[in-house]
Amino acid sequence: MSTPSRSESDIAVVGAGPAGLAAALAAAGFGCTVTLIDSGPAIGGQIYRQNLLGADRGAGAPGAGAVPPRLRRAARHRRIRHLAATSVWHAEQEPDGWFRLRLAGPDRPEPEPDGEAGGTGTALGGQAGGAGPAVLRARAVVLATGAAELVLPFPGWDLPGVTTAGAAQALLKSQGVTVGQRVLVSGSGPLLFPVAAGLAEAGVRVVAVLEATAARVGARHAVRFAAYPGKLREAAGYAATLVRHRVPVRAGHAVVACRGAGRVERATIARLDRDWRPVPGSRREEAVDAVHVSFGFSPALDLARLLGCADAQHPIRPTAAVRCDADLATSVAGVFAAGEVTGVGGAQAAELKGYLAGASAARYLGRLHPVAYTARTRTLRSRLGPARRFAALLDDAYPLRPGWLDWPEPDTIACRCEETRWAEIGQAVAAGAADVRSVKGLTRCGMGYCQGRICGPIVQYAVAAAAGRPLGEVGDLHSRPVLTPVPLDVIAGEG
Amino acid sequence: MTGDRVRFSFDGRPMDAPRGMTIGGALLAGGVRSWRLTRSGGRPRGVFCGIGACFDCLVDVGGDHAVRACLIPLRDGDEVRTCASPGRRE
Amino acid sequence: MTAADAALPATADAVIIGAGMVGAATAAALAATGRRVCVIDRSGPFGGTTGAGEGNILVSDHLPGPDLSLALRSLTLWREFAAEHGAQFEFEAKGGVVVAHDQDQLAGLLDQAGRQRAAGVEVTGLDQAGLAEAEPDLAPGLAGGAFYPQDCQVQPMRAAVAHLALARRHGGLSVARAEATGLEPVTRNAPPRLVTDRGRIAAPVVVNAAGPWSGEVARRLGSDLPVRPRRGHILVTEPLPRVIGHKVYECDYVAAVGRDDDVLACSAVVESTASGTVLIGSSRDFGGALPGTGARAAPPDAGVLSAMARRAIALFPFLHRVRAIRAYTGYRPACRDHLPVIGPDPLVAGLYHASGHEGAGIGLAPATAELLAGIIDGTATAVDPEPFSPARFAVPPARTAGRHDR
Repeated sequence: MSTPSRSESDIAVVGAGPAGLAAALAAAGFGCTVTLIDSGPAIGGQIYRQNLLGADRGAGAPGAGAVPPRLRRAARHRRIRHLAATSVWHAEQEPDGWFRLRLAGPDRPEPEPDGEAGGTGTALGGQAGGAGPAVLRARAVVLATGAAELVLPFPGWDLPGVTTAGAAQALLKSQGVTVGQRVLVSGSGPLLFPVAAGLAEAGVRVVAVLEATAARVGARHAVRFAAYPGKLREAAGYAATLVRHRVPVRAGHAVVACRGAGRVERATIARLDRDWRPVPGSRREEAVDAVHVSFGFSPALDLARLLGCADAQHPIRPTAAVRCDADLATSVAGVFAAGEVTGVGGAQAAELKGYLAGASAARYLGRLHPVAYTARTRTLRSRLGPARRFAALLDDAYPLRPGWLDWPEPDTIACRCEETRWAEIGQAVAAGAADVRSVKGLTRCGMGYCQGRICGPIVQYAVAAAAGRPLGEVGDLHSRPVLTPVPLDVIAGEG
Repeated sequence: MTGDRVRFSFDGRPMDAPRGMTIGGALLAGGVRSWRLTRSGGRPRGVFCGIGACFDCLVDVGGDHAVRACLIPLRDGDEVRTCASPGRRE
Repeated sequence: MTAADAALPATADAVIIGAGMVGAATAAALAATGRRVCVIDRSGPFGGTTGAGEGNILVSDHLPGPDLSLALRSLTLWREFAAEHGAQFEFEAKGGVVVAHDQDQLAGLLDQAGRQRAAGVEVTGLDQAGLAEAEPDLAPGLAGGAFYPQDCQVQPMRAAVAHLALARRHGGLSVARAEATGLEPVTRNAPPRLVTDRGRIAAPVVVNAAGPWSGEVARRLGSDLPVRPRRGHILVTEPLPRVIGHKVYECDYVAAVGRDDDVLACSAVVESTASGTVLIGSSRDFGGALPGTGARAAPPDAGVLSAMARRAIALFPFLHRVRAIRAYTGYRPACRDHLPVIGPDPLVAGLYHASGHEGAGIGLAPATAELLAGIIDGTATAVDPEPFSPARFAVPPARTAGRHDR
């Protein structure tokens, strides 16, 4: 077939961020038909957020970060079929080696072109003019499912106005909306700067940027950053923006509590010791109307798990990444992976991996001769080395420390969906639960709508600490046999 | 209604927002921070992760119950309502 | 130090392999006799089938015979325990409604109900109007059904915790994470010693309560137990206002339990839970892969989920737009004659079995524990132990006593 059919294609690429777009383009460039699946309304993933309000909006409109032209082609390539607003809810490999992906549409079906809403909610996909397929078969799969933000709980983190840093960035870039006017940006890692800078440019009063890692820890690795002048320039740009807007940056500090009536009104900032424990006597309150929090990223592993791909636990973070070989093949033949799901490394590394994974999949399908593969990917593979080293440097420069376990109080919410209290985790461990699964069964952590996407890493870390066991031995909440909430009639196949 | 702005209502209160916004974006732009009450504690929630992963931002709109406000595009005439989560925990 | 990392004691009066519902109930029963009990489990407590079921305590799906006698006795024990502790594990005496799609099914169901009634089960036949009154959201057009007020539900992991707490209150209880690897047999002067990956423990009583792993454990301890893991699936919906008042299931459920073949058997089981979610079952097959046996984990089968969703929607049409938010599998310990195995191992002195409860382990656990304690101590038991004897598997296949045709 020269173009993907309604329900079959050579390759299914899941995720249309930089990794997925690059994989789709590479594979299509080598003659493969590709179905590109993404749950968002437009390509770009989390990092390249398109302005939903229309490109012709005025100068104040958020346009920064839109999809680079070299990747935008993926939405128009004749061998690539883009299914927007589509989620994979189940996937399996069939006896003939093909992969069967079951698809579901958005929470609310898009109306038909004539203005009527689609049926009883069975319209799928965002392709103009009609519903997408409910089932897709492909001979190979590229996982480009990205990463979610890691958030650590503190009293009052469930108040409206407390969001992830990524949420603040997404709302600003895609819709020009801000959550608050007087905010704190708190957490750890390189996302804090661009988010704070963007908010400051948009006129938000950023009271401070709080990086939990102590300055001397960052200084220890400062020399290694010199090898990445492009990254340094980028960081310097954000820093200059923050200086211009008089936004103080405090290392070794964090928001450790919030309070307010119905929304966040005051945030408690504490100085942290090297293990992230609040230093006694250092707490002080700031009046704010939003707090944006981020402690790095957690690869979104659930589809990889469902397909049986091996993953590797991070040594100190409650996260894991899909294991790939040098050609980005996972442990399951026919499944490849690229981008943040293989390890957090940023948009440029994600794109490089995407091209490689696409080529690798094309070789697997016989569309690219192995000799040509080696020649065509030589430069790519050579650029991946520095990208991996940069990711490792970021890991070293922003280590997760255990003192955050002192931030929650007994009544602090641990699982946002099920409102499990922090104290219940300790009680479950005291009652004999020694792994995440048992704690989940006793406390309902991870049983709500989000199925542990937010609380999973928190519970994993807390259970490991309480049970005195290594992170990798207590299990996690990455496995989701139903990958996203799906109407029963879609599962029944009558959808 | 055509043109730049979309008219909708929230818990009966008339509002409007630029065309193209999500329901969550439109509510935030209109000064609304929370549009959901949790199941057990009846506590308010609004946007948390902003990318459709956390399911905190669930809202009722028209005949649809508990849809993610951060993802759903706002449409003309949408009747948006606070999602009071059903069931109980204990 | 947490319970899971507690050291293995060198001796105990009884060691129980398996910290699930049956193991926990057995621990409570043996501790009540004054014994020091050690429960071991190679993963965390309640990590097996106990954490994968719906928490049913049913009499409705048991046919007259030893099966039903055990279930009725167990129900009595559950009620006694729940009277004091029921809130801890969400004990709910919700009752069960069994549904017949057509007149033939209804006739069969009412006949079965009559026989159950004669054996001590409370049951009321329901015509179409009665069915609609019992469950207004059921699809119209069903022929009728039967109402079993004695059916209950619990949160199974919390119920197991409550039994372990009861055992602790009676006296010495230790719980350790350890895997049984062998048994040093009884010698003239010493009791059997259970060999584990964390050391040896000498105990005159060793109980195999390892659920679907019981066959493997028996093999390691020098015996043989034909317990096979029979996979089940559960679909869980988003939280809803309470719209289903009872446990509702199709009358071909009992037949599904009684099948011997390897074909997938699906029969709709639908119920609401305290948290507002609706649980949808059921499926039975011998596929998948029992965790912890080295085989690669098998995720829930989409085809099975599809069949269960279809049958649930056929019973409750409002479900068609309700979202499922998770699914999971569990492995029932199944014996080929569909009766549990409770009693002394015919070959290995000191070894006892409490397993093979198929899908009824939660419900049958207290009576199993009580029966086993009586067998061990040689005291009178409320239920006749003979049909559950592990020795029955040693007899030639021609003998059919104890087998139930369904």
